[in-house]
Parts: sequence; structure tokens; C-alpha cells
Amino acid sequence: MLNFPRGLYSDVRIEEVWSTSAGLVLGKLEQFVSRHYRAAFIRVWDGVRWYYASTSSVDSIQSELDSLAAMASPAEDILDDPVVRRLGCATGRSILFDAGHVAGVETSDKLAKLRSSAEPLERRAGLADSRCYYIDNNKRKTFLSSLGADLEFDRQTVLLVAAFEVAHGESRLREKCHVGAGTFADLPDLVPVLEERLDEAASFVRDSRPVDGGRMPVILSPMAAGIFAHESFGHKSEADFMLGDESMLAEWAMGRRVGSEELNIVDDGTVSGPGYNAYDDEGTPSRRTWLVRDGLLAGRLHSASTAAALGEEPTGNARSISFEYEPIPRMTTTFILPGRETFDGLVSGIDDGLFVKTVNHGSGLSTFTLAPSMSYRIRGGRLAEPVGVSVITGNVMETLGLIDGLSGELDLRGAGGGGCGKMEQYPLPVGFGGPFVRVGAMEVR
Amino acid sequence: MPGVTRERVVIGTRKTTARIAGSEVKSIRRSDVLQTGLRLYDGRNIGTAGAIGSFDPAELEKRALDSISCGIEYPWEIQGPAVRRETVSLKGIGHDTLAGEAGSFMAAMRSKWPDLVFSESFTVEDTGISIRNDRGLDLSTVLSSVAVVLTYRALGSTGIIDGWVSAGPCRRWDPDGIRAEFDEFLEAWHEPVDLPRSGRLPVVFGESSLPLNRLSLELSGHRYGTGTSLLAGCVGEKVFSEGFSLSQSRVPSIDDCSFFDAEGVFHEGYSLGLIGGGVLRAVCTDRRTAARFSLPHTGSASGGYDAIPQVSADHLRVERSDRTLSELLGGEPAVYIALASGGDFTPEGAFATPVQLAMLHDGTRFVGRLPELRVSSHLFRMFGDDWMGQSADDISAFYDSPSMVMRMDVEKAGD
Repeated sequence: MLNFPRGLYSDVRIEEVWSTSAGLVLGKLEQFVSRHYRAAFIRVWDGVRWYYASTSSVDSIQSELDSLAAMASPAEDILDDPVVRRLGCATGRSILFDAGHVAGVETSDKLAKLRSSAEPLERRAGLADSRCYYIDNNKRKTFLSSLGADLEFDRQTVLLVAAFEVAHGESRLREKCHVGAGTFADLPDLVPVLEERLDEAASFVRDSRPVDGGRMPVILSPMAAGIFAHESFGHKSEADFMLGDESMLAEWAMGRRVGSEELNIVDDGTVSGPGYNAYDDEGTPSRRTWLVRDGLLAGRLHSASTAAALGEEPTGNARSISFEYEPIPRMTTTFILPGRETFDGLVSGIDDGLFVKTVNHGSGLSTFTLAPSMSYRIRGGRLAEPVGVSVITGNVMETLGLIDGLSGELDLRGAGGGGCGKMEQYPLPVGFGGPFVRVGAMEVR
Repeated sequence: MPGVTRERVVIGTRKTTARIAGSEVKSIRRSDVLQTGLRLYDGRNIGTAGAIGSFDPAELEKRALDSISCGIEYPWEIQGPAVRRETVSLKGIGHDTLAGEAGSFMAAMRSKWPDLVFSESFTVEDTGISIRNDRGLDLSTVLSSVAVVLTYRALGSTGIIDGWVSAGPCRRWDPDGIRAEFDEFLEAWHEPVDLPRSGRLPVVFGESSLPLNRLSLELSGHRYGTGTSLLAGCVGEKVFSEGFSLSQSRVPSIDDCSFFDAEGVFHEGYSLGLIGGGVLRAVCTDRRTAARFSLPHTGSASGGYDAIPQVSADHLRVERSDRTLSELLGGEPAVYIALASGGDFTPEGAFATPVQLAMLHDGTRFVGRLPELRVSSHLFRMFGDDWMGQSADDISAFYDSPSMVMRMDVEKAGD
């Protein structure tokens, strides 16, 4: 039983983590790490400043709490503080993975799954390099606060990831693919996914030529569209970057047009997958937040502190990568909502353009970039030859306004073992994706 | 257990961070984390287990023994007897005084730069890294440092970040000196200047930059051995400019790392030449990679406290020339890359990146802020014919910060 200090808001997040990471390199097992630990993050707020402590000794939580309280200045009216008023006192238990917990799966079964999943890499001739990983992670959090919040919730992911390099003469291509699920039993078969990717990569590296670049219409795959939405718009929706600047708030006023009328972007922490959380790391329930609705700015991602500073409400986006860090506004699963067209319909509307299928990475400051891995020219309304593209780039706001077609399907996925980075906090598991997205013009090089 | 050799890796980190938002100290964070890893070797295989915080030694040993049965081969002899300690200390600031120092620093920054909104952090950190085994190996490094990282936006700017200034890891705290360097940079940032001309210009990178990161990938023994490195088959050959030499450097005070790798290997002087006078002498290997590809072992293993060591080409350092940045430029203005995000190399080595923030530098000082640019080149040109040199002097007086200068194609974004 914790004694929360008087005149202060305080909370404690205890994380119990089970994880496994096993890796085959060139067909041989070279990595196996199995972890189980408990650790805690403690926060105290006095109305002016936050005081945090992280500790790998859960026996010291009370002493850490007392120590932080000694640094703070108690306030009799702390319950009236705008930040505290936005913090909840929910109680409850949302444990989804008691059954199917990764700790209950034998190591031998995990390694057997890894080896069978990697078989296509063994069989395939002409691969210069190959790796295959099995990764699981179960994180159970207990959240207690001075307001009476008492929560227990969990999240779990199981992944199989394959990466390889194919070469043809001087041409080379690094590609990867993955499958994921909430439990080991639900893990899809990686083999057909990997076989298809190997086939496509082999023909791509054999047949592709450097693109004859320029400004042209582009169709982004759900993966590419997801990275674009995450990098170019999602990070700008995290409210902490607006603090301390009234003019920024005016610039990002709700209702401002930021894209074409077809454009809807949401962040949704309730979606199963890497971005799922029942509650965020300050006890706020996850929810769907509309960032762009019908092309108009509709919301932003908050912690209690940023919500209080901007006179808005928390959105369940206060997240941290581990017990060592404080929660800050982060995305969960961020995606463009689907439209009504088909992929073929989107392609048929383009006489001379580009289809971006896979992407190595992206970035999004005022100018965004996507570094495609496999792309195809579109000619006369049909997919044509494979092309090597160095970079697709453009102005973020201008490009959002040029989205003129969305397919009807929604394909959400994660980063395949990586995650999102924000200054020191990397990697945070997030989901992204969307439909196929057609942009009227992008700069292709 | 007979026939089993034990090795223990311990990493202890004590860190205090003053977090800045809206140009003020908004939070203080302390962390104290102890990580312990146990490796067991039975002569054929390796097993590992780890713990965070306190742990039961018998349970840790049982998990490591179980891990041996996974069958991860490790038939190599582990590091033998050696006892050595290195300590790098910090002067002028500590965990208890960080918050006050950060507050004073930011008060001065707010006063001097009311048009800028600063974010990020001040951090004091003590890290202890040790490796000990049954064969008498007993190595440890203790590192203490302070670091300041401040990103900023101009009031009214629509971007997340307009620029950043930083100092660290520093071994002494000199707030007036650090602020004077920040002020010099920010004064120049407030002066928009045009690109002197498009075309091939001297470009200046810091050490931790995309070109060097890519070169480190190509120097991985795994890539070299599989033939996927652009340098494959080139050991003994001249691949870059005569003026380009590069080492694997693990000098704790300079490189802010332990002097030994994850397998407990270290070199006298804590440095090993990989490229000398443009000639590729060696690529980075751990024991496994060296054995797999019959390459010389360079002591280049990395890995977490509880992981199996794996090869990595980290801690690379370009050797300084005997010329200052000013002498390298010879009166020519240079493009200093301050923020470049989204660029990449093609698999064949061609390089291009947008540059969100570039500064004009005359060799002795920052002159002004350039428009958004694009720079491009090729790995073999950047470190080959277009290599101008590594400066003898530093950009900052407070941490190791030589300049890497090369000629590249530069154009304004949108041209």
C-alpha cells in the first residue's frame, strides 16, 4: 500500500515485462534473449513542475516517491490544478493475454517456428544475405495514483521478421517482410508472404532501371501511405510542439483546411496491434482521435499537461517507451481512412505516373521524403516496369491537398520490430497504414 | 557446473535529466538502473540470461544454462586474464545541481532569444560498464558527463523544429562558454544568406553524420564477408583519398564508451586502424564473424547486457589532419550541414539528402543561415577524390567535434 504525499499529485507505473528475441543469421541461430523483469516509473506534480524517478528496484517505490515529494512544493489546492483536473481516477482491469501469454509458450516451440519460417531463405539460391527473427513482448502495467486510479492492463505482440539482400550484377536490393499477431497461436504463416516477397525482389533487382524522374502522379501503397501520414502529419499533431507559442496555435486552429475534402486521418489506440493500449501511461483510456476530418484540422494528440496548457482534453496519447521514461504525447495507430475506389480504378486514372509499393524509411518536417524500395511506373492506366527511385519528396501541406483518390480497403500494420522515435525515446511500438492513396503530383527522383 | 565458464556483464546507469519545454525547465527526472548479464560457455555453445535490478543468482544461472540448450555455437576461447579500469570524471556540475544550473541557463537563453522557443534537455549521467569472467578478465569503465541539447522554433514558425544547438558529452560544465557558442550559432541563424553559387561546394559534416554512418555499414565484417559491402574484396587496396584515414576508437574520454568491446577485447591505445592513407586495412569483426569469413579479429563486438555478442562497426573515428578547418577551406565558404533528414544512399553508393538547415561557414565562424538545400554525391567520391580533410580543430571547445570536409553537389531545394 503506497502512501501518496499530501498537497501533490503523484502516480506510479509498474511495468512487468516478458520478452523473447531469437535470430537466425545466414540460417544459423546467433541470437537468443529471454527477459522478465519488473521496474517502475514514479511521477510527482506540484502544479509547477513534474518530478520523475525510474527505478529497477520496485521495493524502493515508496522511498522514491517520498524523495520526489521532498523536491516538490505542496499546494493545498492541487486538486484544482488544470493538469490534475484532467487526470482520471479510473479503476479496472483490462488483461487480454492471460490466455496465450508468451511466457507460456515453450522456447523450443518458438525456435521451431523461427526455423520453419526461415526455410524459404534457405532454399532460395542467389541470396547474398539473410536474417530471420522471432520477437515477442508482453508488457503488463499497474497504474496507481493519488486520485485513486487503480488500473491493471496489458499488451502483447508476437512477430516474425525476415530480411534479405538479393543481387543481380551490380544491382542489389535489401527487402524485408513480417507477420504479427497478439498471441503465438494466432501468428500467421510467414512462409507464403516471404516467398512472394523473394520472388518479387528477384525480378525487381533483375529488371528495374533508374526512374526517369520528375513531377508526376503517385499511388502510395497502404504501407507507404501510412509512413507518409505518420511522418508528415502525425508528428505535427503531437501537442507538445505547440507549447509556448500562441502564433502556432493560431496557425493550427481547429477547422483549418489542411488537405483535400477526401482526406480523413485518425489516431486510434483501441485498434489491435502494435499501437494498442487500453490506457495510456497516465491512466487515460485510449480512444479514436480525429486529426483531419473531411480535409479540416479536427484534433491533436495530448497528454494531461499539454491538454491543460492548450485548454483541451487528454486523448490517451501520453506514452513512454519503457519504465525509464516519462509519458509524452505520441501516436498509437495512425492512419488515413479508406475511400470508395479500387486499386485498379486509381491506377486507370493515371496516364504517366508511379506506384510506390515498399518503402525503406520516411521523414516529414516542412518537406517530407519517402525512400522507396520497390516502385513501378504506371503507363496508360496500367502498372508497367519496375523502377529504382531514390526519393519522393514535396511540401507536406501542398501534398495533403493533392490527394485525389483513396481505395476502399484498410491495411494496418506495424514497423516489424522497430518503431517510432521522438528525441531520446525510441523505439515506441506504433501502428500505421491506410488504403491505397493517389496523389495528383509528387516530385520523384 | 563443471566445464562451464562464467562471464558477467554489469551496466549501471545513474542519470538526471532536466527537461525543457517552452524554454523553461518543466520536469526533473532521475533514473537509477542496474542491468546484469550472465554468459555461460561450455566450449561448444553459449547461453545468456539477464536481470534488471536485484536478482536471484541461482535463478539467473539456471536461465543461462537453459539458454545453452538453444544451441548457439560459440566454440572460441573467451578473453583471458587482464585487469584494467578507466574512469572519466565530470567537473563543475552534478546530479543535485543540474536543475538549478539548467534553470539559470534557460533564463539567460529566454532573455537573449525571446523570439525562439526552446525544447529538449540537460543531462548528467554516470555509467559504469564492467565485464568479468572465470579466466581472470576484469575490465571496467566509468563515464561521467553532462550534455545539453536544445531544439528551437521561431515564434510563428509552422514547423516542429527550426534548428538545434548542443554540447556534449562534456567533461566540465562551463555554462558561460557553452552559451557563448550557442549565441554565435543563433546569431548567424538569424542572418539569412544566399548560397554563394550552386554546383560543387565544400560541405562540412560533424562526426556523427549520414556519410560516416553509411561507411560504418560498409565496414561491417559480415557485409564484407557476404559480399554485400561496397568494399567487398578491397582489403589491401586503395579505396579512398590518401588523406583519409579511419580507426575504430574506444578512448573513453573522447568516444564516451568502454575501452573494451562486448567480448572483453581491447587494443593498446584503445584504437585500431581500419583505413590508412586511403587503403582499406581491415573490416570490423567479432569472434564469430572473423571465424565465419576467415577475417582478422578486430574486437568489434557489441550487444546488450544479456545478448549474445554480435559484430558492429561502431566507434569509428576519422583521423584528424594537421590543418584547421580554415586551412582546409583555403578561403572558400563552406556549407555546414546542421539538420538533414530524409536522405539516403542507394545500394550502389549514390547519396542524396535534403538539408533542412544549412549554415554558411567561413572556416572560423558561422556566417549565416542558408536556404533549404539538396546535397548529393557518391560514397567513393565523398571519401575519395572529393575528400578535403578532417579538421585539426574543433567546432566546440567543450567536446570532441572535428569537422569532416568534402566537396559535394549543392543546389537550392526547389531548383
